[in-house]
Amino acid sequence: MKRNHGVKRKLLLAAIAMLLTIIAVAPVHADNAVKLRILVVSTGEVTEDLGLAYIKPVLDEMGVPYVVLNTRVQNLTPAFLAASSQGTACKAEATGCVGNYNGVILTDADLIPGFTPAEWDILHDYEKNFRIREAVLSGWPATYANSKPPHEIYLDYGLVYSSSGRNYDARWTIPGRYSKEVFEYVNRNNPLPITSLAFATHPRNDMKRLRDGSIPYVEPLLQTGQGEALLSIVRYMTPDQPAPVREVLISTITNASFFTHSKVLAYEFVNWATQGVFIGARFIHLAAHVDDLFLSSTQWNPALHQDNAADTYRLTGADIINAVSKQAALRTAHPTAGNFKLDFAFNGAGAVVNREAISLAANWKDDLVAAVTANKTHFRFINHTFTHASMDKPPVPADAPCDYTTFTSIEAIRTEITRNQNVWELLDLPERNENNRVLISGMHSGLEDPKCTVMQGLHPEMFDVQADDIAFDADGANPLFLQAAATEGVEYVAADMAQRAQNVEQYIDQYEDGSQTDRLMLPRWWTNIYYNVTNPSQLEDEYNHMYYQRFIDTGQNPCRSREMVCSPRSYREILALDADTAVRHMLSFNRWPHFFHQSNLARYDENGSTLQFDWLDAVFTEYERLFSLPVKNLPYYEIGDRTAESLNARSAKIDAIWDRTTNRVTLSANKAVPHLRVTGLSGGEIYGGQLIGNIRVNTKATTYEVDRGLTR
Amino acid sequence: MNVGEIQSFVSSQEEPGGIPGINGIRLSAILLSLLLVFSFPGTGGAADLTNAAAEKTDETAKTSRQMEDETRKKILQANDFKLRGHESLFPEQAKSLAKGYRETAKMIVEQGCDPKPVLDAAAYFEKQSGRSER
Repeated sequence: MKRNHGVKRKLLLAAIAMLLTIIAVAPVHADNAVKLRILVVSTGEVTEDLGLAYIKPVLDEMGVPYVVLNTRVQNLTPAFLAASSQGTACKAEATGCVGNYNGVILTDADLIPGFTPAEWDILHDYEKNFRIREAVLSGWPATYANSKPPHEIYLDYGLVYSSSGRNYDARWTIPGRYSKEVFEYVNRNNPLPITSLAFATHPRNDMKRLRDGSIPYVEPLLQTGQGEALLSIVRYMTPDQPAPVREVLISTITNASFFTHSKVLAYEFVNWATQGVFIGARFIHLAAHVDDLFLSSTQWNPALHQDNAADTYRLTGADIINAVSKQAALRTAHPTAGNFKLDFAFNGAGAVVNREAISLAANWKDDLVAAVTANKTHFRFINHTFTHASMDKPPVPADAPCDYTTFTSIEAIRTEITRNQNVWELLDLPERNENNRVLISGMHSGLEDPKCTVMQGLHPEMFDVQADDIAFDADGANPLFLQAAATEGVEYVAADMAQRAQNVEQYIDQYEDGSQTDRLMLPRWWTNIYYNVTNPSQLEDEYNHMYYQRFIDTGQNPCRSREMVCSPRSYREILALDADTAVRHMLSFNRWPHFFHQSNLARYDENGSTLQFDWLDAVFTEYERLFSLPVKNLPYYEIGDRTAESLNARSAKIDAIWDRTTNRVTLSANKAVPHLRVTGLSGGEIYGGQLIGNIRVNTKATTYEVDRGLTR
Repeated sequence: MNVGEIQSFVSSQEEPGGIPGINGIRLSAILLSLLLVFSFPGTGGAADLTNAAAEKTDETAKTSRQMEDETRKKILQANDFKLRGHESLFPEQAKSLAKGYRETAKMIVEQGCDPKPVLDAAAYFEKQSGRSER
């Protein structure tokens, strides 16, 4: 019995010792931590490195913090990756040591000539020590050994070159074990067209070891029709560990921001590298603004090949009822469309009995007004000013000829805004209060100075009436317009992204508008569905006139410029090109709406077809070939709110540390950030199988549980 | 979209590296259809005819899908080409890429392997760096 007690005592002591060991070790494990920040290793600056120019806007749009190491001018040192408070290099297991990055992205596979074998060792050691993943954007599937004996291999992706090409229909071959972890957002049933130079490879899987003893084991995710790998996961295994010591996602496809396939792949390079835990997020957006509701538009005459002021079109009640039905059909046909709604940017002057009256009255006898109000819950509305008047600067001198009438007082401009708000109330359209903060001026006027020339037909001496415009960033905006907008509490002003300096989400702080706060400019995408067309033949004629015939007519060769076309295009071709363009916009993750005009919603055949819904159907069809993510269709004021939130978050310095032992992230910032999007934390919105949190962060650190969503 | 439209579209796009063969696909479809028509056995009965018709429908659908894919790729390439033109930095980036691949080729030779694919890539990007217009 005594002896037995002795054994028990020993066991107890051993258990206590083990417990003490765990407790003692715990702080060390607690330092097994990394900052939520990506290291981008490049071969040059953005001006030189195609890969950096590709991934940088993706990271910026998503709001992901990153640091660029330019191997052309900088050396990688261990202390750059993880340093103690004294600034010396440290290891994950050392007390107080926090890794500086939770993911690594290489813009090029072999980083030649800037990266040395020693630097590869430093990078790989960090990846192994802190269990950090690497994503390679492009390049040669290298296997390199030291030139001196014993010729140890220091870089090996486990791939062998098979062929090169610029035209692949790549197939998704994602192994089941990764199905919840990588490319969860793509439509894996469809091939992904690759249109850039790619090196197609085969996995070697031949047990050849790197000098650290690891063996690359390759699993292709995307393959050519001949079964060659274009994109693979490489797991570096050692005999003594069941889990990989290192993991790499490598693409041997050239990626650039102007390739659709690159836009499809972009998210996963970030998601993979960070193991799905990162500051920032991405959503896919699409909104369609139909401008000029209640007004009429002049029409393009295909016989004359020009706009005909004598011929106008204004939507009818039947067009609105048709639009309700087409919108429902769009939602049914496209599972990613959700509850998609058109946004009508309306001009109330066209919906009242007498636009000059001091007290406005809705024109209920107008079947368009009646149909819009009867179906108002099917759509959203935006203030487009009362009469669509120009907000541009008045001419100098005041009596100089001008294509448009201008306002010379803030009061007059304010009236354009407030009278439209009155009509909103008269028609009892939804969400008026929210929308008082948003304004789309007629033709995006007020943000640049067209110098009184906007109508091409009135200026035959000018090849392009926009050529003399004074841009927004060259003092072209009208301060009276901005002051009026500020006075009326407008926070968000629509801009035309095709105009210089209007293709950036930005606070308008370079103009004095008399307010403590600045208006926020929200760009909108243009399309090739013009304001003056209701049917395919008009559109086809105008498009071909713009991009082909007018050059022929003036003795120019349209084939000399990329912007023109070498031969006329059909409606279907124009639509397909525009749909592809729109999908590229969507895959850039920004929220900018596409704008159209009321004519485009006219029913042009007995099936109820409209140019507007032809375009939307083509866009969703193309999108769903590539992606399965639900499309966010936000009201414009909410686009404004989200944009403001993103800009605020981007201007803050966010500190985030992922404690790998507790699997929790501690967040703080140098200022209050009421809405910080973070991917991979418990409790957020589920999107594409991942959790995206909308977190309030300030100077006080707060801790959140990590949830990578791998079981969803 | 009819075949005429597709042909017109293809002829309007002249980006090097494009896909020839829309005409070839059309020809294949005709030959395939003729082959199916003349391969019907005379004594096979209604079931054989039904099967053959079904096969023909499948083949026609497949051919149509291929044509659609090819057209779609032409559209992608047309937009790639146009958008690349908007990238003012691309010529410099392509030049750097070409230079990088030449350096990689040297390394591949040092490693005792064939540098041809990488030299081809270098030549391709070198050419791209000088191509700002059609």
